[in-house]
Amino acid sequence: MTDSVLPSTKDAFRRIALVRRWVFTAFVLLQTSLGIWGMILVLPYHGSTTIEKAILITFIPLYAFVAAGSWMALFGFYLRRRYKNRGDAHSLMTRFADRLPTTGLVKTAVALPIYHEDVERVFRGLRASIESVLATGQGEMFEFFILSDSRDPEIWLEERAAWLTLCNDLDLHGRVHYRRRRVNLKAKTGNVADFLRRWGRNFKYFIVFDADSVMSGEALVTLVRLMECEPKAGMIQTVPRLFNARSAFARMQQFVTHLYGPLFSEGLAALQLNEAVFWGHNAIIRTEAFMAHCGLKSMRGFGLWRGTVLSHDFVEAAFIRRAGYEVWLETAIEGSFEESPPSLDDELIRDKRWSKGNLQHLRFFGFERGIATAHRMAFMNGIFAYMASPVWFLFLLFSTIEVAQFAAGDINYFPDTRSLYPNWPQWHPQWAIILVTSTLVTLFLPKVLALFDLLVFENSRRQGFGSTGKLLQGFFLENLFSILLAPIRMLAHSAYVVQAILNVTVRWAGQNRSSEIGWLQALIRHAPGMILAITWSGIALYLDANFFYWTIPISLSLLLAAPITVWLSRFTLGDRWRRQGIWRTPPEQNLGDQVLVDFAELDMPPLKPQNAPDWLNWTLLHPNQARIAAALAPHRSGAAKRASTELKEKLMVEGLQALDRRKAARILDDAEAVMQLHQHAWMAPPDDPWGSQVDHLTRLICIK
Amino acid sequence: MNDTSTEVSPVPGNTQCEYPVAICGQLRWLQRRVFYQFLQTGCPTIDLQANLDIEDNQADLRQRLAVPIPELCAMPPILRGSVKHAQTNTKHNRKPS
Repeated sequence: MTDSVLPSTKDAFRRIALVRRWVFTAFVLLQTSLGIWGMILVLPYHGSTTIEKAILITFIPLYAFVAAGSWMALFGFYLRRRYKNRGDAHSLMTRFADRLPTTGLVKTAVALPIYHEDVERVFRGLRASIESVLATGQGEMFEFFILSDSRDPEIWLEERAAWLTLCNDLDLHGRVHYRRRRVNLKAKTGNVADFLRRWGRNFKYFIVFDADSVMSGEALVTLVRLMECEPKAGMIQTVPRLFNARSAFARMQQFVTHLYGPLFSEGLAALQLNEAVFWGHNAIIRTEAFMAHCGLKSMRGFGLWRGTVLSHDFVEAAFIRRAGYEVWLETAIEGSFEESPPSLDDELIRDKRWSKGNLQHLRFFGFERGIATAHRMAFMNGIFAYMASPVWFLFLLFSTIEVAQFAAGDINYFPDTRSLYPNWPQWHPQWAIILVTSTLVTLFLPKVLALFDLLVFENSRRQGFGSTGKLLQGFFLENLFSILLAPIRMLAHSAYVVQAILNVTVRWAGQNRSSEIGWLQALIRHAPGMILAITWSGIALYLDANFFYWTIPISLSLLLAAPITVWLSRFTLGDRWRRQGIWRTPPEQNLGDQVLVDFAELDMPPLKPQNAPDWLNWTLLHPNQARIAAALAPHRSGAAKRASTELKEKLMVEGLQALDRRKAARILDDAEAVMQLHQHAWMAPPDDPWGSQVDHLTRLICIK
Repeated sequence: MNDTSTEVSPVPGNTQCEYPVAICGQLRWLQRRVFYQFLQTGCPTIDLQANLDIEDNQADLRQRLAVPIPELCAMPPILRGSVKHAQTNTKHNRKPS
């Protein structure tokens, strides 16, 4: 690695970034000002009472947030039309388009941190990506590292068997590596840092995968070439598109990223330019820069601002930028994919962790010196993505109180005690309608523009969405569901924000990526929302029939939360709508990348027979598995040897069932103990626990 | 191992036969030897005149158990480095100009 000294050059993008960001900010502020003015006209006392001030205080950030999202997409639409889909003139892909094909590659690591994931799915994705890299003819420039933090032996033994099968099948011994951490310090950041400390110096760049990532060889090669072309680049983030969705919910999310994603990501990339953020995966990182500047200390604050940084990616991007390196979001790199959670509840479980992680960013937003303003804005955006929910909740609460005061006849003609003149409350329903309409336009215009962009200007991409009729049907259905899901998400996020502030511990666990949601589970999870909806609508009806009608869109979706969640999580519904052509996307039409076709067609036979015992038994009893376990285990000495000998003797006498699985699996940390236990088991008399286990195994194999 | 089956006639009345312990022992060790070989190589080889001698089967099994451990390496050699904690004011840091 030779890029330890960063060329000291002026930031060539500072001027254009400032222009773009100020224009964007001006539009957002202008629209927000109009929105505030409209709201003041709608409020009976025009914001002069305490409750109306509270309504305005909650309304302003909500409206500004919605306006910012909308202008971002409009900006993306403008750039796409201006550059006719060739990409922003300042992006790396455009600037280095000529040099790219002839740029050589350097040794790059692909790191795949995993923790209690679906092993078959992880290795299917990895294998498809590796085969795609090999197909480019540049396979020798990449090494793959599976970095497991799994603690359950039933999972990590399967991972290890899958790794070995992959190496055998593709003859990649020595180029695909597997490492399991015995001590899982600092979760995913600790996992990657551990990899970097031990092997990082071997590689100029490393590409981070998530457990559900799939990337084409072309995308990986392009990322390395871009890094070589731009020595100031510290990170390049691709835009992963969703794929492999089966449930109706996941297919809807997939449709959203394919249809609306390009507009938003294009707008975001153009605003951020060389101060983009890192999303944690499907991105390339300059190893030395990362190792020198991005180590995350445990936070020493209080409450949720103490301990491990949960959402590390934004912080790492901010730190590498602070060190002078550039961070780019490259929207033109195709072949970057990930999966959606299969259900709303799984998405919400993930959001629980993300909400706490994003709220932790308040510490970096306010108190970290030297961070670029663009990254402070990114922190703020991430924080408000979750804070918006409790703010919306409070807005609804204050609005209800306002209505309740009027319904109770509690009219105050002198809200300002210093004024001698009465302030007559005034109702302007026409302004309320205008304000609601403008909000709806702000919310839905980006989606309509994305549809327009696709239908009018992108004929080739349109084929991937099926017929125009089906595309429109999918568009309306998606909007209907997004309206229905918004209040459910709002309530859940509000609860998560409160829990995060109270510093409720967030469990670190692998995500469910493949299961449906049951009725009982959904009813329990959404019961508070249903009770709240009935109570709120009941109060609204009691106070004022007109106000009750306004509450219906929110209370109805909260009431229907359980059935909606269960229904959308169904694979059968997803499959049926796929057959009917609803929410079709390019990957489903085989118009995506070849890597996705290969992913779907890969033959992944089971790693052990169906009737075989659990992985720990199988590993200790199977002749080859035991030898592999011994080959990969260290040779112990000293205190470690004494401990493993003690464990082995206990296991020999009492069998595996005598101990907790994780404790028993520690025998696999001593090569000699593994083989001694294996030999003991096969030679043991039938009344010995191991002898009977071996006899049981031989019978199991016979059963089809 | 044998794809033909023999009809078993029901035992009349309360008559009980003595359990053939000796045969069980012989079959057990034959079975262990054969299955070990099967799991090890993926292809069991057994002829119909299988050797039921317990000692022979145990000796064969011992021999198979003594097969050496293969050379296998999950990770490349370590090249130690360090991940430095982010610092606000070090000479390495260069504020974006």
